[in-house]
Amino acid sequence: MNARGPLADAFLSALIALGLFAPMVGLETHVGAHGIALAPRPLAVAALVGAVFVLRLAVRLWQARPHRAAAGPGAARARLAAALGGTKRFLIPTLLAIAVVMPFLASRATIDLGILMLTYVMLGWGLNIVVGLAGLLDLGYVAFYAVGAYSYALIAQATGLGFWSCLPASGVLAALWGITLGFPVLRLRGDYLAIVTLAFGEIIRIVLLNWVSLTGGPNGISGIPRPTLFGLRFTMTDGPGTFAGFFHLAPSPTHRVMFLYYVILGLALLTNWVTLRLRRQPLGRVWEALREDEIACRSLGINVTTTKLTAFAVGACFGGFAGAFFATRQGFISPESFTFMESATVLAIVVLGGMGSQLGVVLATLVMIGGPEMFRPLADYRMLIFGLALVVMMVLRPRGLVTERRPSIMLGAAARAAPLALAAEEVG
Amino acid sequence: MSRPLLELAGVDTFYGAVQALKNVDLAVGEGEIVTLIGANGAGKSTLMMTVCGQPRARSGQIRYDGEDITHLPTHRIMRRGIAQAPEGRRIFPRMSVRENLLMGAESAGQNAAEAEMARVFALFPRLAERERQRGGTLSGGEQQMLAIGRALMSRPRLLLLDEPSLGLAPLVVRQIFQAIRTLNRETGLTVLLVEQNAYQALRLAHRGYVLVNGAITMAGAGAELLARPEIRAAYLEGGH
Ligand SMILES: Nc1ncnc2c1ncn2[C@@H]1O[C@H](COP(=O)(O)OP(=O)(O)OP(=O)(O)O)[C@@H](O)[C@H]1O
Ligand SMILES: [Mg+2]
Repeated sequence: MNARGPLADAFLSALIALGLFAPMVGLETHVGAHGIALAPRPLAVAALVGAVFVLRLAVRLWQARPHRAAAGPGAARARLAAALGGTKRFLIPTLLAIAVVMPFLASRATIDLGILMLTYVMLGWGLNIVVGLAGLLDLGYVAFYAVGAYSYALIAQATGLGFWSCLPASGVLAALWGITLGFPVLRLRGDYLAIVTLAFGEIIRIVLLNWVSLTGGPNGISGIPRPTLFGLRFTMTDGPGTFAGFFHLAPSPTHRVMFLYYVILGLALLTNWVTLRLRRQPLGRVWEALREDEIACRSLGINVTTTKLTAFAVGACFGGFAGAFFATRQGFISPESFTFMESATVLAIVVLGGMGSQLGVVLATLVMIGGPEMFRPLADYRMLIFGLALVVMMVLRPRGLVTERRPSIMLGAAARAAPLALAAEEVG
Repeated sequence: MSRPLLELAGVDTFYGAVQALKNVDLAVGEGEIVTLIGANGAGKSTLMMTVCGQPRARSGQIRYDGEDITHLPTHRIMRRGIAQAPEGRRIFPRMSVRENLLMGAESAGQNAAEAEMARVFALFPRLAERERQRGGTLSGGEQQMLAIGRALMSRPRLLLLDEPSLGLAPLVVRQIFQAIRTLNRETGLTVLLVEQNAYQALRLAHRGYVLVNGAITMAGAGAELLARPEIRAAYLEGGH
């Protein structure tokens, strides 16, 4: 808790907002007679700054409200943690059920959005292994996504193999890149690691852009084979060997979209399952320990080098799977799809979700990817509202949406004694 | 002294251009408790870390159980039966007591972990009560017990302890020193103990070394060092 009074704090926030909004919102460009002219919009700025002031003040007052004496903060926190645990118990099956039945109820556009979100969920879960579990800040995750996508496209082109045969190779190649990246950066920590991984992501993109003979350069690769269901193709006819023909259905483009949806749902759930399994294994525990304290790990005889490399490799492998899926879904890939923006979005999902939390990644994806789509009718104000929502969220939950970390081993009744410690973690 | 389990011969350690250890000779016999005392910045932690290979000795030799370990990578050194409770405890704050202990068994393989954990809990019942609690929410004394317990999980022959009494109340310090004595007597564990708390450390240890500015200036039996006036003047004035 900071020492400034709520009023001073709110004033400071308003000042920062003024600095930010004055140029961004306060000036509007018009195409006038003599080129572009600027028109000031003082009222809009005043409204925004006022809103920030009031909100910040409200938050501070709300934080500073006296705890009920009888319950005490400890009990309140325990209740909070218990409530969180309870919601989680219902939230996960509900989300899963919605995800499974959604394609049968929703429009094609919604299914497409679902595919997009699931792709980000999968990327988020993959990156979560590297950033959330092992604590290695990777700003170039898109590199593995790109390697997976191009691996699939190139192998399919060269050999004529389909999606399912190439998928493992895409993952393995991405994992190899993960290890290749891992070696030079092993000694780096924190900011340095972030910068090098960032550069690595860009290098991959620039290589893809310039190695025209292999990758087609900026033109990308098209005609990437679509996935099949046990050899059944999804086409607009019902001839032999097609999905529609085999099941005697009327050919429909929705079939393929639904199929793609379930493919990415399956891949994402696989990522989650592997992560949850690994967390219970010694390897997952060592990753987490590495995030907590590298020096302590060394003093316990843990080989920090291999531990980091496995984290990079496993995370990269899932990035590669997601990339292969992206390629098969689009049928066309080019370096444009693998910019730093993608890395940043996925990292934002992981951080917003509360580093290391699997459920958090899902919720953060709903907010980060679903949010802007939801606000689409608001046209130009969409990104503004989205930005405000993010700011509000970071103020209210500065450590991410789902912050508590459950010990990976919880047995019987003793586990129920832990919420106090869990909650202390969350508040502290 | 019995057969030496750990020997340092002419060890020099540098941080960049600064020499932190100067021609250090030190031996810890099998089954012994040896303490290393010295003022802040004397190089005690450096000596302990040099044994673990981080930083590396620039010259001289470190032998463990008769073998030269001077150039082995840290994780290999720590897998030979050496365990360390590092300075400042360095437990994993977000992991439970149980998980912290399991991390200690990582290098030795998880097979015997349950049996080992039972022994740690017998030694420090406080930890058993707090098995599910997060490391970071333990009290300072409990954290120190956890750091020692974690080190014991790999079934070491040699335990390196860096200032286990730091910041603890006298009663807790006595508990921890008592535990060290018990371990030494009952299991024959060899202990190298770095301490500022010279009085208690020298009373506990069979032998002691005094480190001043990176060089060993005195060595002898614990009781003998305790009796020396220059030790009393430098390390014991003002209280036990
Ligand atoms: N990583 C480092 N880089 C540079 N110098 C270091 C480093 N670690 C320790 N030193 C220096 O080496 C000397 C010995 O430090 P060391 O930590 O070994 O002392 P110590 O005897 O353990 O002290 P204390 O009782 O305060 O823990 C000090 O002068 C210290 O500044
Ligand atoms: Mg020290």
